[in-house]
Amino acid sequence: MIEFRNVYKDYGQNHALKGISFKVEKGDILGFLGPNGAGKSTALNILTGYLSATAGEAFVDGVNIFEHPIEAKKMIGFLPEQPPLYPDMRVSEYLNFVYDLKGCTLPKKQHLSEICDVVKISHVYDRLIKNLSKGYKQRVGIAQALIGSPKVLVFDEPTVGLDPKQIIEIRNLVKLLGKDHTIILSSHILPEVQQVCSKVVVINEGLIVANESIETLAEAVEGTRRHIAKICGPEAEVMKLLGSIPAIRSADVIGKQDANSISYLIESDERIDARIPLFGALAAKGYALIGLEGVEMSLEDVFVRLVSNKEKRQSAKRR
Amino acid sequence: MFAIYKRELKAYFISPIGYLFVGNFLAVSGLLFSICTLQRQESSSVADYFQYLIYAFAILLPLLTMKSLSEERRTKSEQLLMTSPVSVTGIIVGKYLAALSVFGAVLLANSLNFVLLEKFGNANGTLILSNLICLFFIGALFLAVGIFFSSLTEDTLVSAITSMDVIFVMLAVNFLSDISISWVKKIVDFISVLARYEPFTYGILDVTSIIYYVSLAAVFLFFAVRVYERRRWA
Amino acid sequence: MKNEKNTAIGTTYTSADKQREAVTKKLKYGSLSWGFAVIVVVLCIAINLAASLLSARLDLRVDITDDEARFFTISDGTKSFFEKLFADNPDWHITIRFLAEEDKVSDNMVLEIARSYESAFVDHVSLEFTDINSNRELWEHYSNVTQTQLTRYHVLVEGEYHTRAVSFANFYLTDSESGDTVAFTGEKTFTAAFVKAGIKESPVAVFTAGHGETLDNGTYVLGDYVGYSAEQLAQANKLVLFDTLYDMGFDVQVVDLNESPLPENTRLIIVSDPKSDFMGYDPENPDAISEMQIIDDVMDNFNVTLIVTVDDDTPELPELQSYLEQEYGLGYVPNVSVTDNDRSIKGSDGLAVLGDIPELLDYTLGSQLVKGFTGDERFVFNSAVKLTVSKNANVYGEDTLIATSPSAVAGGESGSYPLIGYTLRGNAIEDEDGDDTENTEYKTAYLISSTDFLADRYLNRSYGNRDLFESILRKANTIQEYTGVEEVFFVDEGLDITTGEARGWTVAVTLIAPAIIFAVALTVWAKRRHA
Repeated sequence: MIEFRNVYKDYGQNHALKGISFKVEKGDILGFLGPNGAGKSTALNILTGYLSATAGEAFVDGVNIFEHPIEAKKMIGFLPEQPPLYPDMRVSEYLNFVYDLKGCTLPKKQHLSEICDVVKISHVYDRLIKNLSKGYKQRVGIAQALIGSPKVLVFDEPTVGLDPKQIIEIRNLVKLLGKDHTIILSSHILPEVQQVCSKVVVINEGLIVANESIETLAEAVEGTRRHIAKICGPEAEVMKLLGSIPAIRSADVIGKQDANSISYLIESDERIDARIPLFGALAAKGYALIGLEGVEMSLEDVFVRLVSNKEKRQSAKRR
Repeated sequence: MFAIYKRELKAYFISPIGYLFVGNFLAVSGLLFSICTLQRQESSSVADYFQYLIYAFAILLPLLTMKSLSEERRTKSEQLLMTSPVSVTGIIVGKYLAALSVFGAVLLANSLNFVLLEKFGNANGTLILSNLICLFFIGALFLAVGIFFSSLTEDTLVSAITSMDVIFVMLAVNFLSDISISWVKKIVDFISVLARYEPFTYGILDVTSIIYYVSLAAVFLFFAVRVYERRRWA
Repeated sequence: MKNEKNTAIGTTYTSADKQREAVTKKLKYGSLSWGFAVIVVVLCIAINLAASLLSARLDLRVDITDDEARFFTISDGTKSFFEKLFADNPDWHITIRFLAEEDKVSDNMVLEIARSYESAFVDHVSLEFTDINSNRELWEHYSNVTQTQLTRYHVLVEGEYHTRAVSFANFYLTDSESGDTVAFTGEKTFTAAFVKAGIKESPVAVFTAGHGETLDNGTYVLGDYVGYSAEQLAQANKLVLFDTLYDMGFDVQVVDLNESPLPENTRLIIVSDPKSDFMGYDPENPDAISEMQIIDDVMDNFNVTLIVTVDDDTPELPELQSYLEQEYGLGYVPNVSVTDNDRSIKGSDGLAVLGDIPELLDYTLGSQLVKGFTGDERFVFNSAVKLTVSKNANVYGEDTLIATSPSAVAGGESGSYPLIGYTLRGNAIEDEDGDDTENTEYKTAYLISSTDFLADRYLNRSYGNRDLFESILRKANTIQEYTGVEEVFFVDEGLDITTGEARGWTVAVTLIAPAIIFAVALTVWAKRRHA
């Protein structure tokens, strides 16, 4: 459905994309994962025709978007990072405008009311966009992308800046839409991609780091539980003690606040809770545990892990 | 393109800018009209009025175009337009035509003032008509200039002021025509907006002038399209 | 470090490949827009240059002045007149030369009508611009050619044979009473100048001298100007009469028939206010010059017009009288004044009689002369003498052109008396075989009962004298046999408004409409504010 072939994008001396290739099959929900500034938005802007590429080719349903931009754009509904709204317009006026703009031929009234029902904005239909909350603005943005029932939906960071309840709603909405559309969704939040997507492309510094099914990603991410523990006690002694606890896979010093309280990053197997044996061991030695918190894996960690997993697999194959 | 034209027209009148433009245009032109005819109490000649109105265009018309592209660029709503199945040319021409329509309608509405000349004397309908035709095309050119500068910046104020400046320069060039170096003079005459307006002041519809205004407007719109294309390809 | 590893995921791309593709793509999608932009700008300039250059040929300047009286459109009559002329003389070329740079020509209307001639007759008329201010030699050259002190307010019409200087002032009609410019005579003035510049010998209007003839009731004694060239005469005298003759295409000369023959191209002979008689045929001295015979010979060439003006001071002039009577059936009764207390100029004691156009038959010369007259024109005849217009069986076409009202009195009897009598005599033109063709040539004589009829004070626009005289001249100048050249009157731009009204309406046009707009804006804002 969507294909990128060696797409480059330079902004002067700054290379935003350094040769990206990937494919999205019909019906997939592709997660476009990467930290801020990785080139996610650039790639999506190229896909939707907002920007052009410096080199390479991109296709939507077999149509080259650089050569036949109008045809390609007809197949894409796009929600940019910042929803492209006209604050002075009513929702109704805005959606009618987008309907005309896209040259949509579906029965207007029915089509628009269906979309409003799906994204749940029917009750704000006659309100001014500038008077809506951020969540509703985002929904109007999604509604806009849905007009004309495009084959492909592209959402750039659809949940940024929303409150947790709204985030959940939007994620559910995307899942729902995934039944009828091919979707590309960009995010810098790992769980979001895990929850919503069926495939994931990880991008960092303009390069694709991984292009995997969601299961592979899960394999890389899951299986490890991480905690940061703040412990008062001599560093060597404490490290020795931590190493002696069977539930703990590894431990590293990550910071010293003062002479006797030191932060350690502790990894354990996911199925075992290392906190109880840790507490017991420390209490027995008389070292005070003054802080303990769980941490998510950072994207950096995921990249490292994904790459190292892959290398492991490749070397295993070779053997 | 028509969708953009329609929205743009609507946008003028759901935000203050359209009303500000129309109100100010009518007030300024009404005042100039009074000063040049009624207050003088002697002649219904509209020659001075139209001359001054062209200078007023330099300030009034950028009000109409200053937001056209820069505002959308600032709020990022242009992403919707650029990713919809409409060419950049379509977007810019649509917006330009909307501005042109508002300007044309106001110029027409404003002509109601001439009824007063008929009431207190004789209105020279022919000259009024030929002047109006020319002013419409001059305005069309200035709006294209405004659209171009609106494409260059995200800041509406910068867009407005730069277009005013450039329009002033286009008008002031006329004063250079006294230069004695003949090739400079030739060039100045060729590009002078006001020199080409002259035949209309005595009832000649000079098609070469209209070609000039329209082609120059087209060049500015083309440049605006180039600015957008370049930004995409940059 | 990491990046290097990761390139393994994408296909390895050499930088040369990338560069090449980038260039082709840029060309393809127009990102190398500088070249494209330059092409568009050049195209724009080319279109405009082409339009300027072809402006005259393509008629790209459209005259939208009033339908009935377009200022800058050459009338069909003038067009067909020149087309015929140019068809007969394919080599004719006329240059209209303005004496300043194109954009410095101070009179746009004259420039515009000149352009109209250029585009109407592209192959025969061209415009030139010569700045005489910056070039002393050129100024001297053209001033010599035209015998005129040239300024930038002149335009030159250079024809095959002559160069004419026409002042911009001659393109306008001024109301002699108010001093306002009331009409534009561009087409008229240029057409006359064209004809004069392009014709080898202009038709000549001859004033006879040697019999006490004067102009303007004795102000100018014509005998003083014998032998003057047309240009000298025009400069010596600023008479409206001369201007009119000049405008209508005539060169003016004063000739004493005793001393020199009539010029070859004489088309009009004017005998103005004679005080002594012409010499007639003297049987006792057959070799002596007979002035009457000279005039009659010229008249018999046809296409010549004779105008004689007399008044109640004119004595008995037997030779002249008998010539007029026998040849044209026209006569006057010496010293019998015509007065009219009811229809005359106020304060003139009934002496300045006002004449009327009598009922004229449609096909006569008279009806052609007054075609387009409204009947409201005031024709003034000061100190008029009683005329006789006989219905002589031997002549035909004699008639009264202007007559008094029935209230006039002459010799103690009241009635309607002729004020201008005329006679038209035609002669079928023979073809090469000596057979008559359908074309006829004419000779015409007018007898005017007042010498003041052509005086400056009555040849202004307040009276009908000028129009009638121009009509007569138009007929007399057979070359200029076309009609419909009219001055185009300006719209009266007077504004009759009191200070109070002006103030009131200023407030209205400046504030009311914006106030309405403001109100609408408020309404819209209020409606949408909380939506």
